[in-house]
Amino acid sequence: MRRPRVVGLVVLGVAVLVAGLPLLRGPIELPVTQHHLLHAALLVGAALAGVLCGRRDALRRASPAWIVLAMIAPILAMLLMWPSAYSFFEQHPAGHAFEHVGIVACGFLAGFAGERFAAGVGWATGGSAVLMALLAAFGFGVAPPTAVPIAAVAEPSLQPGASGRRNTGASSPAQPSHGAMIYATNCAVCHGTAGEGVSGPSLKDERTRKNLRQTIEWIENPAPPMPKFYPAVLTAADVRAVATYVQTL
Amino acid sequence: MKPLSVTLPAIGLRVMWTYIATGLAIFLLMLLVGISMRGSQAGWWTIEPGTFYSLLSLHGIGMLTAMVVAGLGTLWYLVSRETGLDARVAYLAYAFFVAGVACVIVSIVPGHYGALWSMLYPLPFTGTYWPTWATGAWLVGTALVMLGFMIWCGQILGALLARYGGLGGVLAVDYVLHNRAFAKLDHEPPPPQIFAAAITAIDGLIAGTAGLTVGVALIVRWLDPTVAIDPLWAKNLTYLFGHTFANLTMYMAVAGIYVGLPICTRRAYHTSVPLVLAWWGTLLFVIIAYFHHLYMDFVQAESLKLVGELASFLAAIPVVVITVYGAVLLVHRSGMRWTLGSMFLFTGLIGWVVGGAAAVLDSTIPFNVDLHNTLWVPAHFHTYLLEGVVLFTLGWVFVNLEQRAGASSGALIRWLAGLGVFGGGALFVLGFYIAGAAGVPRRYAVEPPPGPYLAGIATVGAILVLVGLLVVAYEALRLARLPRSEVAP
Amino acid sequence: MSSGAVFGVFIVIAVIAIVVIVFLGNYRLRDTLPQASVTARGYVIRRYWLGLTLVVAIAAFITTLSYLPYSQPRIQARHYFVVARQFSFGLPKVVPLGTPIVFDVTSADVNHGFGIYTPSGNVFAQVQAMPDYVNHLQVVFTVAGHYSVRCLEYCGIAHAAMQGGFEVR
Repeated sequence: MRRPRVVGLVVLGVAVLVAGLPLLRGPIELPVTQHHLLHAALLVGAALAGVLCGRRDALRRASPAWIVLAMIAPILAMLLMWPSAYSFFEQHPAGHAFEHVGIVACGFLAGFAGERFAAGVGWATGGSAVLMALLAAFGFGVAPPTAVPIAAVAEPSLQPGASGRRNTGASSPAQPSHGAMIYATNCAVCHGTAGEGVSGPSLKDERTRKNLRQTIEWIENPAPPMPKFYPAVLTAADVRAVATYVQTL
Repeated sequence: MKPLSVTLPAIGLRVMWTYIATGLAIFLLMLLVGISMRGSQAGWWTIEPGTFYSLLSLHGIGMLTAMVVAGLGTLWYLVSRETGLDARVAYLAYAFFVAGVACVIVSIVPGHYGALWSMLYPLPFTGTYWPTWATGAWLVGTALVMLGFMIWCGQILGALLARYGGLGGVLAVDYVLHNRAFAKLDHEPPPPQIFAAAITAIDGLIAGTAGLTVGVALIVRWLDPTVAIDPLWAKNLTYLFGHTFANLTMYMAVAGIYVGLPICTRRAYHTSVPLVLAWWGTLLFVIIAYFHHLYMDFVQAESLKLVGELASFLAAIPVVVITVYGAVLLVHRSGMRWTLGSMFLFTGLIGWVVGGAAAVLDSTIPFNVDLHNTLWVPAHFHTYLLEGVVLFTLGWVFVNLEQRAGASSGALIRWLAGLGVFGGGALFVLGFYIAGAAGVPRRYAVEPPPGPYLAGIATVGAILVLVGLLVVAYEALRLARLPRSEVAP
Repeated sequence: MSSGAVFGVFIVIAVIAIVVIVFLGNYRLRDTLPQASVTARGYVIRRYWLGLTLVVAIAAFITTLSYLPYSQPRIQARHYFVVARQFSFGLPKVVPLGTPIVFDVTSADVNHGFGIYTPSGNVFAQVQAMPDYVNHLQVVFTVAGHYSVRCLEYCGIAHAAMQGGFEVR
């Protein structure tokens, strides 16, 4: 029983030392993917140390609390890996080192608590912590490799019927207003193409019920079941344009 | 390795009935939700799209949680017969399920969450019609369900490792590779139901880790909207978890076959080398088959799609060659009496094969072009869940009730239940299949023709299923209240 | 590939499965045999059954390799940029008949499905419309007429109403 624990403590010490590296080097500029992969490497050591230290006599019943700790520790580690570009801790080397020590502690706990709960479970829960970090490296805080410029996406969609960048020169004779376009794409589904109401209420003579400012406020903060389009889908200018259009119905 | 003392049967049974009763109660409630949605699609009454999608989200997560909880309860009891299990852990996992379900209900009923249970990022955040807190309640609720599941998996894995001497013992590696020596040493491989429990625990831990990874990422994104998430990555992990979670329900319920059918037929179901090999295959295929959910994501590497297709095809072989075939052999000329228990266990095999065949057709890439996200998808998994997993669960419940009471149901009750559950069920799933083949998309609050017409037929079928299940529930309560039989089973 | 044929195949498999399973379960059920004599024959048949399913599975897999929808988009093909957004499609009005066409499909917000339906109402082709990614769907239209487009991935409250269309001439 003693030797694994000594080896485990040595591994843990190494992991903590590695975790403290940011203290020596100062802020390290790394892509998020590589940073997560380094976290995964830290977790391998920490979880291994946890498993080695956690070994116990299998004949006594363990407290159920161990299994809960073992399952929650990987989640806490992942929360600490909050994508670095936005991380509060990332700003200072000390904070960064603190974050790493936290990750090591969580990895250790995952292995230790799992092994304390039942022999062999520590490998699974420690592995879970490592797997989470590995998986996180490919998408958590990582922008897709082939990102599409927003402008290319946003523009053609405002003009139903245009085939992307090819036909931009050919505009139809009676170009509807920006507000009408937004209405047609986002509102007509429920309120009808002429505001007559379908699944949503009629917007005919809405101006007698709400003035422009009230309409804008409603679109920006609607009550369910009306979808909230602002600010995720529509900009403030879009909202103003569509509200103006609704006032003409 | 010295095995721990065996749990008292009474404790194991109490855990099992708590889990099964909870699962079946949720199942019945979600059945009503399902009927209300199908009737609305038929035009019998109107559910506004916002409410429809909230109900659809509830129906999806509710049904899966119901199936999982019922299956985990059965397996927990069956494992507890082989080795010591701490009931406190089972109730702890149960508390996580209950808390998760409570969060989900809060996010739906006052919150109107409606991004469906397998939400694809950036959906729960962009263009929503529900408040932000409802998204948070949903994410936390599903994470709690996953945690409950993983706690169960951890407990069962630990117990099996101790009982059978490590992973190699649990998976019967020596039994397969050194069969002669194994027999000479008078060792026994684990009984068949233990493989169901082990594969659930191992695949459950892998899938749960993937699910929690994307779940935590979404919770972080909910707290901090500046965090970037790769949508393709999120989609992969969501389906890895979702597919495995849904698929495993069948492999949990199959334990009812391994233990229940031998009771009915008075024959034995032993572990054999082909059976172990089948479970090894299942262990792998359940995890990697999920790529078939991303056939229409052309940016995903083509090789992964081919892996998904091959795994989906090969996953069928352990089912039809070993498990279903073996179960049919077990019944064949056994002199088994048809009771509700044996009838459900046996006919569940049909739902499994038919639903599985539809799944294999859909996982064939050239067919998937026409069937992807049409009603064919709900067609196959409703066959598989309603006429497979639910029947195995009910069969297992009735085998236990009939044994305990030393009595079974009359022919009239059997016919009524059978007509409702199979006749109604066939009508119900055919509505989905025909609409799917006709290209009607799934998840449409208002369907294009011939959707509404077929939805009407399907609703009639679903109501017949409900009637059949009410007869079944009445019988279950009647049998449960009979005094315990004096005759030893 | 027509989904009518798939439905037919499915019904045939389903009927065979039901008949075989019900028959084997009920056939001379009261006329009992010892388990050993059932399994002795059963395990011999199982060997052939395993061989058959393995051959079918692998043959089916190899066959599908020549019917994959993932052709590499050709540079010289006409490209049309398709943008899906809650809850509409930015689409070309007219698409030519009989020449290879590539739809470059993406999304401005959440995941959508770009499902093209033939004038007679069957699914013609589909691909996912994902934010941050462009999926290239290469097709050749051989029948003229009005093709409608439906969203085939759940995208929000008006998912069912998210439609579009174009003419093929």
